[in-house]
Amino acid sequence: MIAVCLSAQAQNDAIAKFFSKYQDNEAFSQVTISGKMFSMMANLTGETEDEKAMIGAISKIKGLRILSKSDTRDSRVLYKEAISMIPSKDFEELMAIRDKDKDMKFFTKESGGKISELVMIMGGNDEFMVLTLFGEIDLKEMSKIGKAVNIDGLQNLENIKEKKN
Amino acid sequence: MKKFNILIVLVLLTSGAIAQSKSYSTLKEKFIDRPDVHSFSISGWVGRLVLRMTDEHEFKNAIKELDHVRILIIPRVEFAYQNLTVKGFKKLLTQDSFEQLAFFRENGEDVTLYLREGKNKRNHYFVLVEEDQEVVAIELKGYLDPELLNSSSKLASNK
Repeated sequence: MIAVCLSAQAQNDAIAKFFSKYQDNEAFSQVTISGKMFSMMANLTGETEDEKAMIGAISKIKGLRILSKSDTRDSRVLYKEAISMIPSKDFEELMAIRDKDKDMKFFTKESGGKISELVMIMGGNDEFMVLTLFGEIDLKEMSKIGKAVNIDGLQNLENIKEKKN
Repeated sequence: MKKFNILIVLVLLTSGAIAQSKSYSTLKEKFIDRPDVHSFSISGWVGRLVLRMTDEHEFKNAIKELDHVRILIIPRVEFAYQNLTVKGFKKLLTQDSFEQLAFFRENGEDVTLYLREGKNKRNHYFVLVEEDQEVVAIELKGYLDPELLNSSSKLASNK
């Protein structure tokens, strides 16, 4: 049932078309974590206050998808393509980062005054990544989750002012 | 007494067969007689013994309620020979009440994790590894404590 819900939701998420286009391309690495997995993680008991807050945030996540490509020459092309697929009527650009190595943009979708989807798109000199997270999202906690599960880029959410959620 | 012992053995054998999920037993029935298909089965007790012998004490507690591990290694050509697909088998897993927990693809190798929750911590975990030349199906029966797995991995990474 969860798989069905997840797949139904995936059809509606921001870059479902982008995922569909490249998910069978073996040059891409892919990670999909279901809401069931996150709900299992929510049963963990944290040792510190930070861990407890992180587990609380995890429990509200309904799914995660990552598509990435390393050692590639077309990372900037992929970056632009992924950005162009974000439906601007549903998503708001939250943050853009540009440095000499990479460009990164964060988009959020709100539902009922809460963030229901977060999209991170990163295009570097030779690497590309798109991440989409859906559920009830606390941006501050996402930076901690990013550090804990070693997702490069999410730590930038630490700099977001507490106006969301 | 002898009859009683035979009865006990039969009951144990039958319960062992039932303990396999329908998905695993279907896969095994289809492929077990084919050349280059390998099948292993070990009890949780043996698994814990192996971890103890290899000095991996951290994970021993996390699998203390694991009853059984079954592994089936099938060359991809056998799927084609039987006119079957891994995609089709994944559908069977879903019909058999397995829920997909996670999917990972790295360097053309796909790993999918499934869970079928049972009563009294009698879960079935299914790991499907799709490599270039072969497919590895791993079924674990019992209970893997996420809390202990988490603390075990912390201990292991601090080694």
